[in-house]
Amino acid sequence: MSKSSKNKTGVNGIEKRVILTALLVSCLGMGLIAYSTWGMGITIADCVPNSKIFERGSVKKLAEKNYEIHFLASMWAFEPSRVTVPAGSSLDLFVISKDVTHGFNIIGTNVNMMVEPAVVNEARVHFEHPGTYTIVCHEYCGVGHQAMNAVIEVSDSAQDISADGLPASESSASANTLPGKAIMDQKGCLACHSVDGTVSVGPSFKGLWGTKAELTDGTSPTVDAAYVKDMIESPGKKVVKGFPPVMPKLPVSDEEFGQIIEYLKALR
Amino acid sequence: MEQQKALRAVIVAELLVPLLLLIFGIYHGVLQVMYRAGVIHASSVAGIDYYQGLTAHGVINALVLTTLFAVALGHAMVAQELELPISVGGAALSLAVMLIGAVMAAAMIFAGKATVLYTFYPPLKASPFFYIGLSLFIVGSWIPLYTWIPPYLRWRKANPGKKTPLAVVGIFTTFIVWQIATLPVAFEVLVLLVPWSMGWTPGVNVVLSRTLFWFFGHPLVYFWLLPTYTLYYTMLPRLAGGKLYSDFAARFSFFAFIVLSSPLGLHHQFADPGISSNWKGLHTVLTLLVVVPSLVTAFTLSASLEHGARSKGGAGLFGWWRKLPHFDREKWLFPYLFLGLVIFIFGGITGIVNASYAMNGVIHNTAWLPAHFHLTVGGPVFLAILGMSLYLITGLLNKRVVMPALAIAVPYIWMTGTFLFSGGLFAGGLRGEPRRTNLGLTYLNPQSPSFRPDWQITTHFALIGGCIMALAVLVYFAVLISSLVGARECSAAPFSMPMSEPLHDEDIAAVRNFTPWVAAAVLAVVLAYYPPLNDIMKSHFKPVPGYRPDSPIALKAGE
Repeated sequence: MSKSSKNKTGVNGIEKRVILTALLVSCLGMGLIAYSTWGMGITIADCVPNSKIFERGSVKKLAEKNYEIHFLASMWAFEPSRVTVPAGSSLDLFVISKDVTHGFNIIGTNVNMMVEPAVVNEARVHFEHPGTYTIVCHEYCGVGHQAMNAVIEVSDSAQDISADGLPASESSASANTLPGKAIMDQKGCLACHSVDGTVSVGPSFKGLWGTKAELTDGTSPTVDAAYVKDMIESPGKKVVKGFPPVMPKLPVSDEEFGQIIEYLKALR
Repeated sequence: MEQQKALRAVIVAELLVPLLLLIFGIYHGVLQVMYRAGVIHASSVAGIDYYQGLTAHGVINALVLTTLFAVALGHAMVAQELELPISVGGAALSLAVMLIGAVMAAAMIFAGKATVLYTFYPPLKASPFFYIGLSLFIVGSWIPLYTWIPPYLRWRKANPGKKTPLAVVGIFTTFIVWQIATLPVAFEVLVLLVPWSMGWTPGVNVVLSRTLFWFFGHPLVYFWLLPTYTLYYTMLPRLAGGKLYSDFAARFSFFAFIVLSSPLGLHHQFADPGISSNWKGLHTVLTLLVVVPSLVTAFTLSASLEHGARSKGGAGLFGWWRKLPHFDREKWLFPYLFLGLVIFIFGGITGIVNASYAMNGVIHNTAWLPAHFHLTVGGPVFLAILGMSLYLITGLLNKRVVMPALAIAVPYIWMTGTFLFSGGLFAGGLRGEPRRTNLGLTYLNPQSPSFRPDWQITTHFALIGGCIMALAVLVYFAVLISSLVGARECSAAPFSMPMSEPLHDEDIAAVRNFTPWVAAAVLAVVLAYYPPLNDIMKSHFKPVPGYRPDSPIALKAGE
């Protein structure tokens, strides 16, 4: 670099004022953030004690129009998948992941959290007006990520909280005890196919048996043993309309296959 | 550098290899806006899955391209400004290690064994070779700084009392920040992820991994920006026909970045559980301090441009803008740097939104984020890389830039594209559109129960913008390839990068030495990261097993 004449040895006066102004702008920003936190009471995710860890989703009434909801995120659904609350409700939300990192953004509110395994996140939200609020998973969590969402329905007519997609509300108690259910849970089928009618990555198993499946190739075969076998053995060959072709190939023995069919029948 | 033919070959390779990879990076950028706008309702196109392509887009564009460019520019500037030879063996070794690492990581990505995105958040698990490849790439990028230090010390001995050339200050700042920032991520990868991915440890601490990643992830942003700042401070004023307004301001800004780049990563984790909001608040304050060198830079560069324009007869409050060499074919590099600055105004302001603690809740992990960083790393940084790569490659190979009018058009097309693209994503983000999501399968698919018609208009703006951005790169490649196949110039003047002279050449003792600033940086990092890391270690979060992206069943050790 060529040397030019030194016209000054001290800091240029205008630069001094610029540095001072920049510091003031920075302090103004800090002041505004402090105001948003303490003045407006907007809080962000904090450290929730490990004792709060839970393993299933649930809803609980704390007081009139005041509920505590535990959301369990897993690849690729929320449990519960739909919650209805009366307008004017305040909700304490606790979230945890069963597997990988997920996101939890209730669109149209300030609730926006990361959901991680082995650690609970918490937020509080108040819903004054009726409406349908979508919870979107906004962190990549695998092949079914784009289908992972849930709904909070705020309703004028609801008297109390109600929820879909919770362990207790699964179709029939007798179906739950079938060995087919355990096989499908262990192989991961139930991560994408709900048993309560909720649409997730794949079609729900509830009431599926015996219906006509609408495939992307234009055909509409009946859901029977041959159809299910075909779907399990060559996933991706035939795809149901409106769903992504992401089903992985999973080894299933003949005996297991029989149990799966029994379970699907029981979910009719 | 004129004598060091081998070094020139290394530099040209470091510039050309990532430009070649960029072809895929840009191709998948276009595919992403098509998926997201619902033009494609599929999980993959031509054998490449959406998320697999997104991983490659991030690794190629944000890591490989930016790092190799920083190293190449570093070699060129240090050799030129110190007028001393630098170790060609060291440069070649660094390039070789980086290339082996990049090829390993790329092979795993294209084999579908590392679809974990470029942030590789565990417990999503990739092949160990992906993590090892990334580590090698980073280790290779550490080497150059240590090959520049011996000639620099010799230079200081030979030039007592002389100020370190400003370009060398900029380059050293870049690589000091990189050295500090990459240690935590190297620890994350080598100590936590590789043993876990190999199956030697059953689980991984998710909160700790994320904190170490963002300890690296934010200074990474400054590592992208600092080579561009170096060009802004050293070359832009002269291209504008003027002088650098204040030499002190440039040095002060660089040194401030050494101190302030690292101790603020928690502002990426405002929405994370397991970390106290007190430490998040502390990092917010530190983040806002970075506003100071950024605003000083904004002022100094504007003042330098104004000085250049006025000395060419520019007048009026804003009328002097017309006297800048916007369309001067001899100075085709000018718009690459100047328009980058224009784009950066919007990138900077939206960045303050992201860093503003409570306000982050509105936009966290929405489409707002990619909108923001396509106006920073995808704006000024990318344009500087394109422009300066063309300048260096043609200069070092003694080629002439043919079609300079087209070369000038590139940054204008790119800017138009980024504004439409980011405008669409900003608006979409405010409507809740998630980032990193194959929207075409569900939210932008009328057949899906999750269909969101309110996201159609925003994703279509991004689609149009993304296509215009790709057009800019196509034009750029046309210019680059035509120039490369063109005839060699037999110009008498040896290649050099013209450096600006200072208008106010202050001599301030505080900005003469790196040492106190590096010491302050280490202290700041310890003060900012000891408390949260100590908290995390004391919380004893349960180790979590790994998961492949295509199955919700936990992997057993060794799988």
